[in-house]
Amino acid sequence: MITENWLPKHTTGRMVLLFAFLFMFGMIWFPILEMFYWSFFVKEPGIFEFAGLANFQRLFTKDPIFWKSLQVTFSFAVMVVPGVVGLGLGLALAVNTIKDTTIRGLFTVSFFTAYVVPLVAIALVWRYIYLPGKQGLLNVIMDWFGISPIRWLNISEWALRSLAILRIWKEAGYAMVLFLAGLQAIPKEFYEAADVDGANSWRRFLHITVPLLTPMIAFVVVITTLGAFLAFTEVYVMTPEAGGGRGGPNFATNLMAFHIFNTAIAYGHEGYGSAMAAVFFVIMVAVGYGQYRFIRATYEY
Amino acid sequence: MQQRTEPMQSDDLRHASGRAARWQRLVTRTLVYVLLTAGSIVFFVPFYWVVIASFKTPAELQTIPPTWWPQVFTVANYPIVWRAEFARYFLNSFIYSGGTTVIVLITSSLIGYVIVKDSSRLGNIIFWFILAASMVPFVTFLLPLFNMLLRIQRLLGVPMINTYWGMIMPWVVFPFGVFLMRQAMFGVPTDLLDAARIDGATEIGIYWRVVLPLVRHNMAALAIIVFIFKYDDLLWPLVVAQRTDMYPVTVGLVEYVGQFFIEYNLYTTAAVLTIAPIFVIYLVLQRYIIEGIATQGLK
Repeated sequence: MITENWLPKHTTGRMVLLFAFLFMFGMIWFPILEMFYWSFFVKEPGIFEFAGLANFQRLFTKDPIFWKSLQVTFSFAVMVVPGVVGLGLGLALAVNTIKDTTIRGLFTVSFFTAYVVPLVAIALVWRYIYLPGKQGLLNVIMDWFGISPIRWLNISEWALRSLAILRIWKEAGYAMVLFLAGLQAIPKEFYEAADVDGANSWRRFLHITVPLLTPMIAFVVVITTLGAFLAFTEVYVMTPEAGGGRGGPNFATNLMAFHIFNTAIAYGHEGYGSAMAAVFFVIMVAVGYGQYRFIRATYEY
Repeated sequence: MQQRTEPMQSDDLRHASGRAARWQRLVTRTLVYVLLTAGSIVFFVPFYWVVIASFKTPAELQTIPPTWWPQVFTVANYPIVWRAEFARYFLNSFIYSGGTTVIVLITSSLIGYVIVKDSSRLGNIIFWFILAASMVPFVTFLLPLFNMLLRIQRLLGVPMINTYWGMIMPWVVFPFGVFLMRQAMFGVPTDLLDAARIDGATEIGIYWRVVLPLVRHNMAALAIIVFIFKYDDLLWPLVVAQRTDMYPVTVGLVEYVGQFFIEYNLYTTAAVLTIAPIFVIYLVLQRYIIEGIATQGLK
């Protein structure tokens, strides 16, 4: 009886696994292979010719815009990650001091709202807030403090920072929720023991909270970094051709995902775009591996 | 005498230090409350600003400096935006994100169930195969993926471009969902499944009547997360939905604003309409959403 029942179970199981494999292969792994394959071709609509390493040669030696895009992408991540982690941690520590569950929930919900709302729409809202002159809300508020207006999205030195501010605003609440969960998982006994030893709040923070929260901090750093590296929507919505160039004034916000999309799809340079994607893929694997090592290190701690 | 004064003195001292500590705690707590309240106001200003703008007249929106409350309160912007195909965009969005959610729930729970409860080396390999895929930047294989849909369209004769099915295709096996449901399946007692098996239940019956009810909370969390994220999807629909009547609300919004970039009344109204459904869902289900996201991080 048992064998009768186990046989179909295995068969159904194998079919489910086959189904999963087929979709994963067809929708992700095969397209990735094809991307690498195309990167060796001159491929435009109607043209498909083998080109050897010509795409890569052009990419590495004759394309300053690609390098600018790569540099901008890294700068973006470097701005966003500390901002999200710092603000999220600060908010979590503040909210965690509140004993009343209702009030704590209220603050959590309000800070988390920005993370849930669609980025496409909220990026448009921020584009409206960033309007130059005294028309934009941000400049109006800065005027109260005597700061002269900034042409946020229209000048190259502020455009990328403007996008970073939006992303920090949006993701800080997410980091906060994760940190709150991490803080609540720290056993109360540790703090009580520290109280008995007469440790002040700063020492308690440094010697109990930080070490025990490190895995969560590492997790948030990894998630935020990957998100920042793949940012696309903000550029597409906020600085499509602001200031005359694509991807912001003087390519200041020409993030990698946007640049690849533009090259391969909007402009139809499919082979060259694939070469870019291949290089970006390798960089992302390297970044991912670095982050994996980083997480491993913090967990061993 | 001395025996009485001594304890009184120390008692007094403790009292004083206790008062100081309580005072300090009160100050700290007030400070935290004030800072957090100020912080939440700052966090909410963008929402306030766009909602207020959507109720202003076009003339008022051009005034410098902008007004904090509409001088003339109008709802005239809403019908204009709604009539501009936004109703259709919403329908598309709900079919796209709702359909993806339903399919992801079925496939994730099935695959997670098989990987955990019919564990085999093959299952483990496929699990890592799926998980590794979630690390790959979507934009790098976007174009070949589109090409794959064209290929399926050509070989099987199933229309893919400009169809809901084509939009949902890449998410049928959703790595994050498989990951979440695999975690959930570890919590399902195997004894219970064996008991059902001895009672003569079929495998589908066990999955449907025993397993799914046990993991329904995880399913609910997954459903909300998938729906919210797919509603916000821009990059993929931008490529696969090329006809205006197939645009989900994200693509529709960007295209619409592209036409009316200077007309802030239409622009802000369209943004408010796009945010509204997610905002309502969030208000109703906030506890589950936050819990779902928080536990996702703990794994």
